[in-house]
Amino acid sequence: MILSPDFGLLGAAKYTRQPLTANRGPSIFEIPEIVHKILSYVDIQNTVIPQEETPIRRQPLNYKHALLIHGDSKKAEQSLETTDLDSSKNFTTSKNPLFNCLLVNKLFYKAASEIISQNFYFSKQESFGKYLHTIDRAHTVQFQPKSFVLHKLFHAKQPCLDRIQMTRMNFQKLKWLELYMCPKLLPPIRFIFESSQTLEKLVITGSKVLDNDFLVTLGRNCRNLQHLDIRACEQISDFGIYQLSMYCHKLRLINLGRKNKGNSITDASIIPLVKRNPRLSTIGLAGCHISDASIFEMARHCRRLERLSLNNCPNISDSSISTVFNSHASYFPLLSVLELRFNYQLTDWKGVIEFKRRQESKNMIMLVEVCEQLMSRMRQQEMAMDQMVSQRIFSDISVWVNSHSEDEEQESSYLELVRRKRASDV
Amino acid sequence: MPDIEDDNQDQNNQVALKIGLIGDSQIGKTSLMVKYVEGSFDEDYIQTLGVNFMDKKIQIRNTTITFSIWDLGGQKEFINMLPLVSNDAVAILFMFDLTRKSTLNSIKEWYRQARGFNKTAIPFLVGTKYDQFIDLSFQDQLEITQQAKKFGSAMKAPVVFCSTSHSINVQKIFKIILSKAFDLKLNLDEITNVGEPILIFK
Ligand SMILES: Nc1nc2c(ncn2[C@@H]2O[C@H](COP(=O)(O)OP(=O)(O)OP(=O)(O)O)[C@@H](O)[C@H]2O)c(=O)[nH]1
Ligand SMILES: [Mg+2]
Repeated sequence: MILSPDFGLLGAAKYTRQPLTANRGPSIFEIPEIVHKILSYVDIQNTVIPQEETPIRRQPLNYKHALLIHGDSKKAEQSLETTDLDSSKNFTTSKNPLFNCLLVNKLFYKAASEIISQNFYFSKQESFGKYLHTIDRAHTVQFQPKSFVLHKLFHAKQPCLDRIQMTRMNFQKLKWLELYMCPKLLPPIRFIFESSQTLEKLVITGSKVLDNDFLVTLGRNCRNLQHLDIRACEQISDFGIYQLSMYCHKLRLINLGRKNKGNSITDASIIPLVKRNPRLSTIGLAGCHISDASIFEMARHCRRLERLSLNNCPNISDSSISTVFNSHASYFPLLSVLELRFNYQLTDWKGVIEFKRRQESKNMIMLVEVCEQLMSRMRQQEMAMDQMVSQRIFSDISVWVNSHSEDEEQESSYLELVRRKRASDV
Repeated sequence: MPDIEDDNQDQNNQVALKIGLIGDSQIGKTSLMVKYVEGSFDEDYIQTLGVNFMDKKIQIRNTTITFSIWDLGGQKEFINMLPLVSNDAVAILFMFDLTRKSTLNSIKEWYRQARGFNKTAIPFLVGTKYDQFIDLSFQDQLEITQQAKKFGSAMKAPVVFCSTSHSINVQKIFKIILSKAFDLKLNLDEITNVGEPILIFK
């Protein structure tokens, strides 16, 4: 096989067929498997499916809070400058060279369209609308997406999805289904039935229509689910989560965080859920009315937990937090993010502080996210603890410097020397 | 400042202090370090080429103190390694041989240079080979002791005469370092008379 020196995708377009000779095989651009490989790399490098980025650390709530976190005014100001993750990135696909590849030749068209059709995503109402206009005519391509993502289509209405359901698109390979802040959309049941073997990740946030019935169907059908993010879906309650937990035991991430209707998520569903999902590495329960019992069960069962969000959980208390996070306990060995904002009922932070220091002494990053009031409470206790430690150190050292241990030199040793000297002087 | 760390795992507190040993060649810096860390003394002289360092750990109840002792070869050619020894040191021992006046006179220059790299370290003036010093004439002893006291107060440094071979005042040096570093009261009498192994630290 010979690579031309101007190897490149556009070069391939100008490729002219030459008579095959004995020592010259077909160009690599004629071998479907290789073209497919090349275009897969183009895809990996260029395709950006819109999704929310996990913030490295949450933004401070106000200037005083920022100052507490960062300790100097300049850094505090910087941290408050709003960075809108979404607007800074441009999700338009027109710059994706994969689309240019469609135009190269038939082989490229076939390979590129296959790859493009693996990911179905829209983040603009306008282009989604245009797409919907064309689908009736697009009978040629058998769309079998691995991912189906609609991002912030606030005004999209259910008929859009029903329309897609009517096409030949099928979901037997679907791994990732996301409707991020598309409040009026509910995935048609066919999506779930067809992807029952493959679906691993479901993200439906801020939905007004997602309900327990959907969760029950989801649980019964998609037992390979690993990632379930249904933040701010306020119709979801204990019943749905409990039912889901009967069937789904491979979960790694669950996020049920919410601002309203916190009282519909309680120990009744969270305890069975964490008991049956020992692989959970992320749990988000912001605003949920779970009690200490859930925390104790998590500590017992979730050895792999890395991120735990308990912001604004009014029914948890010192009793669980100061027991589970404690220098003597060895729960949550992998935890590196713990969020406890707005839990003003928590007053005993010693355990959390000790836990944080222990994780850090293992060279792990350990972030405890709290709000301003709780942070100053925590700082005060931290200082008191340090003072105790210094006092212990001081008293220990003081004992030593004033002790006369056995290995100590004998005072007499020098007196003897002096005596010897006097004797020789005489 | 000494490094203090609360090691939660076993409720043990760690304190680490770096200490630098500086002074002319053959005065007994390496001997003092080896004696303090390993408890042994060797009559033979082996020149230090560059920098040596050893750790001595002391466990007191819940606290582990680690002295990291850094020893700089006294030959002029190693002066460029002085920052290695003096940077971040909590205490610097400026050492001289009690039987060689010239080594005491060199202290001025050592002090000036080391201060250039570390202005916060607690300085100590340490005379070595006290066991041989007492064989000198009273006049010589008087002269050297007065000179050392004068230097000590100019440097605002404790003054200690020690003998590594006869275990005189070796342990005390390190106890005084700790009491200075942590501002702790030390129940120890000073020794100030000519001919005696001087201990001035108040
Ligand atoms: N009698 C006596 N001899 C000592 C004492 N301390 C050190 N010596 C001897 O003095 C010689 C030099 O000691 P070292 O410790 O190697 O000297 P140093 O200051 O490290 O020398 P450099 O490495 O060249 O800077 C050795 O032969 C030691 O045995 C002491 O307290 N009394
Ligand atoms: Mg030496």
